[in-house]
Amino acid sequence: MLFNSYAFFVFLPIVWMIYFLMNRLGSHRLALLSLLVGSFVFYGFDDPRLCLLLGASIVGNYCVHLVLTMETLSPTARKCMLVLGLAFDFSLLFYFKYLNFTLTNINRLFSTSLTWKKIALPLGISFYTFQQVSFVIDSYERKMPRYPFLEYSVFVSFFPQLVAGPIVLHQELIPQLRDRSKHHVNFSNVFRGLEYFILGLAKKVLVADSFAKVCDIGFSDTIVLNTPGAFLTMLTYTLEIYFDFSGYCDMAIGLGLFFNIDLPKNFNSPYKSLNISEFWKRWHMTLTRFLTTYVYIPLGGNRKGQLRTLVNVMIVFTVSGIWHGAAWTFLLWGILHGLAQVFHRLFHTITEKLPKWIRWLLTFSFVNVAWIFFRAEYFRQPFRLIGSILKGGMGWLPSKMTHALWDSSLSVLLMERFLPTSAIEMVLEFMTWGWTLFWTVICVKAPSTAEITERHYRSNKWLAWLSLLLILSLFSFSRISKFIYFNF
Amino acid sequence: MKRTDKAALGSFVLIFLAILVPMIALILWMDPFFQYHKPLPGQALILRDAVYQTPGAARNLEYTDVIVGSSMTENFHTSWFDDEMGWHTLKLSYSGARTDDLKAILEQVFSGDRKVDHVLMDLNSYQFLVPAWTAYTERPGYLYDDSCLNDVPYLLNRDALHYSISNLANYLQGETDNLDCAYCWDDTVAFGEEIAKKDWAPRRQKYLSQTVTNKPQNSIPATVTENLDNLTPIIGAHPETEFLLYLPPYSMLYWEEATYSEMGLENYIAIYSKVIGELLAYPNVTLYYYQYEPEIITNLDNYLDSCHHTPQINRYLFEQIKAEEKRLTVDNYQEALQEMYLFARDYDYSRYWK
Repeated sequence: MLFNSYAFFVFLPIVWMIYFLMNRLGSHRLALLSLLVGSFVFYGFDDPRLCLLLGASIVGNYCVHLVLTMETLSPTARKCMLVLGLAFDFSLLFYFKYLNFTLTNINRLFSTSLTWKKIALPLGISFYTFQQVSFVIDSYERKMPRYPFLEYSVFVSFFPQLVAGPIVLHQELIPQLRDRSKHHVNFSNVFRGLEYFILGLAKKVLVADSFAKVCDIGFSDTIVLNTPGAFLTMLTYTLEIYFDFSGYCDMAIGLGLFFNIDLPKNFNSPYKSLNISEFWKRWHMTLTRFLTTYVYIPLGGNRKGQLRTLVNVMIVFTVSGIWHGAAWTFLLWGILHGLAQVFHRLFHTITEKLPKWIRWLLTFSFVNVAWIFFRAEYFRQPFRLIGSILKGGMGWLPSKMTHALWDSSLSVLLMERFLPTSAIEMVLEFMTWGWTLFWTVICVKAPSTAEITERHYRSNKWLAWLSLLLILSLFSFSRISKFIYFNF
Repeated sequence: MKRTDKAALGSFVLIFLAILVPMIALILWMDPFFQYHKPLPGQALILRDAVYQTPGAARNLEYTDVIVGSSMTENFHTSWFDDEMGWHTLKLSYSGARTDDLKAILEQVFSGDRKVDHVLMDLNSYQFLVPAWTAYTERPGYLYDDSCLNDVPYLLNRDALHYSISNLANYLQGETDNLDCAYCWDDTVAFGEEIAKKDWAPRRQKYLSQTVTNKPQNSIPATVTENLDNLTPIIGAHPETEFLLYLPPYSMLYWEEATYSEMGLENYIAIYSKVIGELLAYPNVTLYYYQYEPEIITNLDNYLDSCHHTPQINRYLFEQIKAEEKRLTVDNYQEALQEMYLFARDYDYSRYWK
């Protein structure tokens, strides 16, 4: 089920009411059970088989947790159990995400013809697998008591964070589930949750999806694009992924607040960053935290000399690249970010002397170019698009791109009444650049959703804005598009 | 006094409803997809989006004759049929329509107790080579059924809202409707030999760089029968309606591709033979054959790609249909196909590629 679907707007109030009703009736276990059932309904709504996978993953990891929290287990047995638990998680992930990719590459390398059936990528598998990997490692390191199964399964499957993060740690969520003061409806949290949810929904369906239409046209035609078209393709993807992921994170936090759960911040205006290290402290913050805690630090972090530090950085970003998707383009994207981090670590004393706006421009430009690799459908495509950007020259945008953004919009319908077609084309060109520039400035200058909700606006004007955004978003559902981050 | 969060939530709900309800009411009133009622007296009928508007238009607009089919039929003017053949025509064509789409549209046309005199429709090989359940674009199912319970996506549809506002403006200004040339695309594209070749040229290059083995002669894919099964039950169930079907004049580039393709020219002809043979078995089917039109199909200036021709050709086709020219019968259709086959087989396609 998608957050931006009619079904979700029926699902949410039902689960919310049952959860608080059960708590009010004094049965927190039943409340948790309702949340668990609700989360499974949410996950398996479009394909019930997914519930089996999620269930198996939860049960498997919980068994490992039970063994690892036994007092009498020998260190060797504990180590074996840790390896077994991690092997279980990574096997599932490998089978569903990387098997076909691996076979394709083996076939290419050794001219073999190994085949396996095409496997659809289960929603959010990378997220809940990483969440449970951290749980298994923490169990091994005795960082937790033994948790009851119900609490553990709600921690993994809690629907606001299930399919696209944030990657929550057990110590962040389970104590909140237990906290009795959070078992009652808190209207302050509900209002804040509503603000978060509406702003996130609007980012997704009104902004990200509009840029997706333009960007998809550009990527379907990379060879013939002129320079403005190629540049716009790059920029619109940068904006699409920003508002898509930012919107999702806002909605997740908002939905958590409905249940009095504070989910960790995952996104903090990353395009305001002045260097690439700062970017990764602001973009997908819980993934950065995971990779730092469970990959970078165990590899030695920065404690083993500069060269080893730089190698560790490269390893972390290569893992990040391949975590995002089974394709060489994702790997290349990760490596590019790793190299940028290495560059920054080596030369930050020099780059920090540059004026702020130059540092911002360098960082933003690099992130833009790197996203081309992230979005690419095949290996040569990003190079073609970059080639089209660099070949230079001016020209009008391909009309397919401007029409993708504005067709059947009210402005065009009204313009058609009094403007000739050629004039409309020109206006659409300016509107397209204007729309893109406007949202670029918003990324850089506007306050984050967290900052907005902290201002405690309660005026009728603010309520009307929220209502209007929610209605405009609801009116966009019949063109539902999937969240980009579901595929990772 | 500072408003409590609970009070703010209450106000939010009231403001939300105060904005939402009029928007839904406007869509219900203007009904741009014609789902709930006939157009208001004096309301201009604007057909813009075939996939969304076709089912409602088929159920709620007034007509006795209908044009359905692919983009090849979209440039027909309904006034030609109305003024010169005495029809009362509604165009329900949509781009790329597969037989599954045609079936869905015809089911809407024949729903209720409407009397339909004529159905004009084009036939093409593309329709018969895809799996029979394929729709060209995903059809919004909630518009194609009678239930109001699943209409939320219509009542909360941004396009429907935009169309409603635009329709309201039309209504207030007394604008006229666009039914005569609904979905026409001829003024949005350019025609010419160089433009026409662009689409096929890269595929041609690919064919030239590889050896293609044609399938054995008369190897007709199962999809042909399956796709026919989408149409023939409806034709059979409505003997009172005359189905005027025609095969449009595709350019020689289409026939060049048929020659190069894995399927092979012989099989293309065999497919047409099968389709025509089956359809001619129905007494209420009249079939016209306009594929073999040498003057038209060899002149690529008439086209924008292998298939799509200028509106002047639509007018020519209308006149041919009106005069009942080139009608196929059980006795002559094999001969007509053979004529096309020989012409396509022996044609010197290299003249286009010098």
